[in-house]
Amino acid sequence: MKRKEKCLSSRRRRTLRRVLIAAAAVLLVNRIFWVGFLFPIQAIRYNEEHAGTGRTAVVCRKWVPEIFKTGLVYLTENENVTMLSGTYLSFCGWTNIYGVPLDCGPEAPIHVGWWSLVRLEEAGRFYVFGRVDDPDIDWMEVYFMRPDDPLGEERIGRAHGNYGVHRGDGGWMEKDGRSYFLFEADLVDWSEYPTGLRAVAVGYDEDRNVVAQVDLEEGHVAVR
Amino acid sequence: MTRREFLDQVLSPLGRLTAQERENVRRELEEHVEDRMEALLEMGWDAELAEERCLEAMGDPAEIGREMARQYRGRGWLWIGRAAVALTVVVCIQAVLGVEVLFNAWDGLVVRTLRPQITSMLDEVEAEELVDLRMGIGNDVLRVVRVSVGEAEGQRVAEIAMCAYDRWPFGIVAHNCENWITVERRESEARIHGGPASRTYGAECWQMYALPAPGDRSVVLTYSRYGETVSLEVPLPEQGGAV
Amino acid sequence: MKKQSIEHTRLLALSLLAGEDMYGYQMIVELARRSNHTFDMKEGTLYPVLHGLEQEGFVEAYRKLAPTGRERKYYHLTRKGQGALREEEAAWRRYSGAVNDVLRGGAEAEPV
Repeated sequence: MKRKEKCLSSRRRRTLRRVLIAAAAVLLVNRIFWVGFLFPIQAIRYNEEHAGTGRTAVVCRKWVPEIFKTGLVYLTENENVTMLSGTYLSFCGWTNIYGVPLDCGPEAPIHVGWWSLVRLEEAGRFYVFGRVDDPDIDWMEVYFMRPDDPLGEERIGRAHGNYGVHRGDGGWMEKDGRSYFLFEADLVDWSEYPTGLRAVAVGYDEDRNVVAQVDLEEGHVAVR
Repeated sequence: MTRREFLDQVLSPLGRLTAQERENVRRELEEHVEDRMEALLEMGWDAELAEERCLEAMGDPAEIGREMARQYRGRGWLWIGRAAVALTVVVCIQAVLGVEVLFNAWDGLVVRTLRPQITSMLDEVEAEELVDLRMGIGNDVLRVVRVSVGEAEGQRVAEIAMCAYDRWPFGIVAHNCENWITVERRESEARIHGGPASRTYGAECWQMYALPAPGDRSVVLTYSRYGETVSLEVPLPEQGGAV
Repeated sequence: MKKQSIEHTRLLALSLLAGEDMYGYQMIVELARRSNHTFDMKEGTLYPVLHGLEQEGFVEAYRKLAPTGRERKYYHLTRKGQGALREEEAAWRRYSGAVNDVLRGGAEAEPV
C-alpha cells in the first residue's frame, strides 16, 4: 500500500503563495515588457530611458485632470538634464507620455524648453520650463513674437496668463542647489494666434536689466 | 436524523467558506462517522441504531457549524489572496497586449551578441572589415560592427555601420541616439543619403559616413550629450581588406 | 463553562499531536484511552478546534492512508505549534497549581 502525502494548505499559506506569484508577475512584466506600472514614477523612468538622460530627481509634479483624469506632469532634473514629461493611468498601468529632455550640459545663463500636451477634441496645455544658472537673474519672462517682428514690439501672450516668474514665486523651484521654473497656459487660448511664432525667454536682474535672452528651440507637441 | 441531514446542518452556517473548504469539512466529518460506524458494526450493532448513536456522539450539528465558522472568520486573508489573483490576471493581460515589446527586446539581445545585418549603401566597395568596437554612451552601448571604404554618390567615402543598445538586457535604448554622434574629420562630413535604419525599443542600427583623406588610417566617432563627451577611434580597413 | 472546555480541548489536541501525527477519529480514541474515559466530549467539537489550530499555523494537515486502509486527513504539529503547546501547558500548570493551593488552604483551615 503506497503512502500518499499531500499537504493541504490553510488560508494563510494560500494567500502568501498568491501574493508572491502576483509580485513576481508584476516584477517580470514591468522589467521585460515595460508595461503594468503600478506607480507613476515608473513611467517617468521609462521616459528617462527613452531620452537617454539617466536617473533624474523630481522637481515638481502637477495634476492635469482636464487632459486625463489621472494625468500627471513631472518636471525632473539631474546635473545635465531638465526634463518635462507626463503619465496617466490606463488599463496597462501608468502609461508614459514622452516629453522634452532639455540638455543643460553646455554652459548658458538660462536653458529653456517648451512642451505642448494635447488631447484631441478635449484639452491642451502649453508649458515653458527650464533652468536658471545665472545667479543674478531674479525674474524670468517668456513671450512670443511674430516672425515678421524681429524686435518683438508686439509681445503676444501677456494677455493670457502670467508668463513671468520671480525668484520666490510658486513657479520658481529650487532643487539640488539649482533653480528651475515652469509656466503653463491653457492651449485653447492659442487657437486665435498664427503659427510660426518665435518664442523668447528673457532673464532680468533685480534692477530690471536684461541679463540674458534665449530663443526657445527645443520642444515638441505630444498629441493623444 | 440521517447522516446527510446532520452534515447539512453543520455546513449551513459556513456560507463564508469557499466551496473547497466546505467540501473538506464535510468530508472530514463524514469520514469520522464512517470510522465510528465501523467500530460499532464490528461490535454487532444494528446499522440504523449505530448511525443514530454515531450522530448523537458527534454532538449538536448547529453548534459544531457555528464553532467551525468562527475559526474561518476575519483577518481578510481570503480577500488579499483574491486581490493578488486579480492583479496577476490583469498583469498577464497587460503582458499579452504589450507583447510586441518582447520582440524589440529580442533585437536588443541579438544586437549585443550576434552580428546585426546592416545594409551597405556603397555602390562600389574598396575595402571592408568586420569589427567589434564598443563604447558606452549614457546608459547605452554603441557598437561598431563594420567599416567599409568605397564609392557612393560619386564620392570616396568611409561607411561605418553601427548599432546601439541598452546596457541591461531587456532595457530600452535612447531614442534616435545617432543624432548625437558625429564623425570627426578635419574636413566636412559626407552628405550621403543614409540607408534604412532600424529603430526599436531594444536596439537601433544605422550607418554613418565620412570623407577620408588618402592618408587617413582611422576615423573618430564622438558622442556628446548631457554633459558627456566620449570618443571612439575606428580604424579604416586596408586596401583590399577581407570582406 | 463552554469556553473553558474549548480551551482545554486545544491543549489536549496539541499534546496528542506532540507524540505523533494523527487524524481526528484517532485522536478521540486515543484521548478516551489515555484518560480512562474521563473525558467524554462531543466528538464533533474536536474538529473546529483542529481547523482553528490549522488556520493559525500551529498544525499542518495532509491526507494519508491510515492503517484502516482508508485515506484520512492527518494533522502535524508545527514548530510554532510546539511553542504554543509549551505555553498552554505552562498556563495550565499555573492554573491547576492555583486551584490546588486554594483547595489545600481551605482544607487546612477546617480543623480549627
